[in-house]
Amino acid sequence: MSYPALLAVGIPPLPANIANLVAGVAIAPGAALSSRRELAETRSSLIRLLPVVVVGTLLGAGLLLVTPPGVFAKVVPYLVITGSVVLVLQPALLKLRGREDGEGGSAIPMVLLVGAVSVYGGYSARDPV
Amino acid sequence: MLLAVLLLLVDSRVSSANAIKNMLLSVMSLAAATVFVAIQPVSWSAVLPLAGGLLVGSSLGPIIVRHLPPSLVRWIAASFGFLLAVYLWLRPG
Repeated sequence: MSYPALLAVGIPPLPANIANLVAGVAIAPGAALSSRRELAETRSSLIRLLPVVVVGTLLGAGLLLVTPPGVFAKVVPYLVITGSVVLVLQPALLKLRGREDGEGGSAIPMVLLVGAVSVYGGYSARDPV
Repeated sequence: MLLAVLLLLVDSRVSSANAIKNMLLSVMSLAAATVFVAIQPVSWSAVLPLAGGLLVGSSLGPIIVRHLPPSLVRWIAASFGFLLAVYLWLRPG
């Protein structure tokens, strides 16, 4: 949501996009400190996902540089809406999967989905909610 | 979107998934920022206040999330998602 905030104060899209990215790095220290408890419990998932995110993001950033503008822009609202619907339906979807704790999922869909979201993150440089 | 994926496939606890999301988001920002800072001018006058706000917000967020009912957090995040989608839809260009 920080990207629309930059647009709202009159910063043009491209500088806003880049400023949003650079400033996003500031999320790390505070969130890491406040989430120590949760991060200690989820360390292994996090370590597994980090390389996926780095590769996905660089891929997305590279795509942004070589594709004409506006290709992804048409798809983005649908992605954001899908994410929101999944958030709302999470308990039902977990039941459907037969695992209410959400753990023990197969690594392949996890890597594919997180990778896909990272590509989008690197491409759009917008908050992938 | 990222939070939704993590909640379904990695950890169904909102506070844990949110913690992972914040770390992954920072890494994403760092990776993409490295690319763009090298090739585009950066308007630091926009970066600094935004970074300050994000630092404060991301420090307080996890503490608030830990104390709110998980379903409320999901609904709030989803609502922002819907608003963002509508905004991106209507935005010219």
